[in-house]
Amino acid sequence: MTEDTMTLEERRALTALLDTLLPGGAGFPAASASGMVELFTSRLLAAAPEAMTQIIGLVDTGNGLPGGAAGWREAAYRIEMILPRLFSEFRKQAYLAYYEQPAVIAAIRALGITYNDAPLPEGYPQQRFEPARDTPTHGRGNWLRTDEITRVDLSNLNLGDLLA
Amino acid sequence: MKKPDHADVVVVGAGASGVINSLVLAEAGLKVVCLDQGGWTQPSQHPHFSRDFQHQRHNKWSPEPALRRGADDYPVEGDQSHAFMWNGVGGSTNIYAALWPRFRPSDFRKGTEHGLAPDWPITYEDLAPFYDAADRMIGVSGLAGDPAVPPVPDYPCGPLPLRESGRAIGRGFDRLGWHWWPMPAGVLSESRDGRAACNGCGNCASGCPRGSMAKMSVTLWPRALAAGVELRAQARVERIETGPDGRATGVVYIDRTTGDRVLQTADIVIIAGNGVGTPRLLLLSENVQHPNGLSNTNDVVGRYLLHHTLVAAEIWVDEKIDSHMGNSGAVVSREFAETDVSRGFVNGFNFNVVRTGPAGQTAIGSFAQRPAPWGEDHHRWFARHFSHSFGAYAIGDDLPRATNRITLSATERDQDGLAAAKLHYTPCANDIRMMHYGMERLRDLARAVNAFDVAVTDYYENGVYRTPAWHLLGTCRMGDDPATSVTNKYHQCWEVPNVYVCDASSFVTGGVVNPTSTVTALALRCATNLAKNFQNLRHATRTVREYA
Repeated sequence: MTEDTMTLEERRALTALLDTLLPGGAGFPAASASGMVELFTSRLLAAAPEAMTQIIGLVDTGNGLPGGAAGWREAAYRIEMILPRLFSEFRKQAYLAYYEQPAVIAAIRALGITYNDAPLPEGYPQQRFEPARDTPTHGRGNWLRTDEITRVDLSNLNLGDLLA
Repeated sequence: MKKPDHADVVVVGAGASGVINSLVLAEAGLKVVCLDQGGWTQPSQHPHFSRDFQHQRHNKWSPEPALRRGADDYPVEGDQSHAFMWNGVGGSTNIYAALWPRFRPSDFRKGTEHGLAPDWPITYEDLAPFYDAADRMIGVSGLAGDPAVPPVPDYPCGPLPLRESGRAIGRGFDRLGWHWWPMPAGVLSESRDGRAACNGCGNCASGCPRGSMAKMSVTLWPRALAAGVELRAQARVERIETGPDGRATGVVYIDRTTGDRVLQTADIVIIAGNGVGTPRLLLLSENVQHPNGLSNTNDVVGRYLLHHTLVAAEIWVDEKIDSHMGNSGAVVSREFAETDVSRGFVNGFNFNVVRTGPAGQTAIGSFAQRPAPWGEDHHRWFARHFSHSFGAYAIGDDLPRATNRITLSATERDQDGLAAAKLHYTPCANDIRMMHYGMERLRDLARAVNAFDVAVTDYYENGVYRTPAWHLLGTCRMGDDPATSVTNKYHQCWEVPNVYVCDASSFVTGGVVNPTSTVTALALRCATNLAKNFQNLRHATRTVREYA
């Protein structure tokens, strides 16, 4: 399967599956509304084309595409059970593509979190290390000088077991 | 074959060790040529300026060559562990986190302590002045006064911000009565030498295009070039040549920009190609005189591979602690660093407590391998968890085993037709016991910070331990006995007295901390001794245990 050879039905199935994994809600857009589908498709086909082929192939069990949200959730659970490794890759690519979309970044900021589009150039406000506040005062910790290091008693350990 | 002018020293590998050796020897007035199979990585090539920076971490900015599949890389075959490396100027400092804790005296004395690993041929006290000097070269940030380590001078830069995440972690350790201390790091807390201070961008995992983190191509290479080092990038060394007297005559490399083969002769050859590349090159250099590879009559080259044991937890707390901001290392704990046989194993482990990461990495569960749920719960989970977590690694001193090793692949080749490296690693029962114990202590830590959620991982995948500790150590270890080591304590090969091995492959044991501070201290010590004794060593025909 390539982007060019994907059928309309396969594209519909892919979009519905992505929206099942990442539905809209709580201020976040659905996967398809975030603008991620094309990016996700090209990346997954480049990284793991077999994941796309096999997962989309499993959506239709012979009775056409699932109907309604419950049907799609059931399809996703089934695929996760049958193809755990490929589903894991599919989900990873979906999450990564989703969380770089401007609409999703805006939703993160709406949670009250300072979050940049990209790490640089801005970075994040640096606090200073304040010795009076931040220096540990516990006094715990010790170390041995080289000349203080002696043999430990291994009699309660089965050395053969340890090295197995 | 082309044959440029003879050099006093040729250094193979332009990473942390390669640049320090090159710099010190050039500043001593020697003609130094350094070769690296990769190229320069420009700041604009790092992914930090792009919204797809998280995705890039999983392909062209992956620390694993097998995933990155870059033109400068060579394949590393094997599925037991991940190999962390970057092939190019600066080496793996292009992608490391620059955590900078030191070994402690007991890390050098496991032979004395329990005998299941050898002592190093040097002590902490031998290396301490070089740790101090390397810290000054690098510009390490940290806080002196840690009662769990030998006294150190004030660090060149003050400690990095502890942030809310560090303070929350510290409170947890205090509740447990465990040691903790702000993590020293090769990251600038204040601007220095024309490099900008860290601005907390939070993407240390893909290197640092600002140069705030000690990426050797921007920290030490400019100084080394100014000292006269001739650095040739895109120069892949295929073998070390030896003469009839058993000494090395130089190295043959492939100029990857022209395809030419070049013989670079030198009086001294220093190999600094990391724990995989260095043994690979010695094995590739087999010849009639050295049928088992160079300096490998005892069959030690490539053996005793160490990664560190690693287990980890992602721990979520109610407080919003902005865990996507700041340099990665927050806090180190040495509470369990020493052997205590009542735990059922020898050796110990360290806690590296770190900040976690940006949104996509949080969702895929990159730290502790537990992704966010999909479906209607996803956004609720994300809002509750994101920016509320820290990560804790229990990083342990694995026992060296001869069966854990680097060999040459019988089937895979790099783009120049050289045999790929093959990696085999499995932890022994002692290591596994330590990992299980560490996981329980991670759960203790989660309880102590009143975590509302915790994910603990032992990094097993389908029954195979695949540590992402990535450290590549011990494969050409130093020692006092030519029968059981590859080099003497000055990094000089026992069998080829003008070849030096100086990088993490020189380690005898791995300690419980990230290795780069020790790599730089060893490199500085190696180069200092070599510069001081160069007129004798350049013509050496045998290797001795002790220099006069």
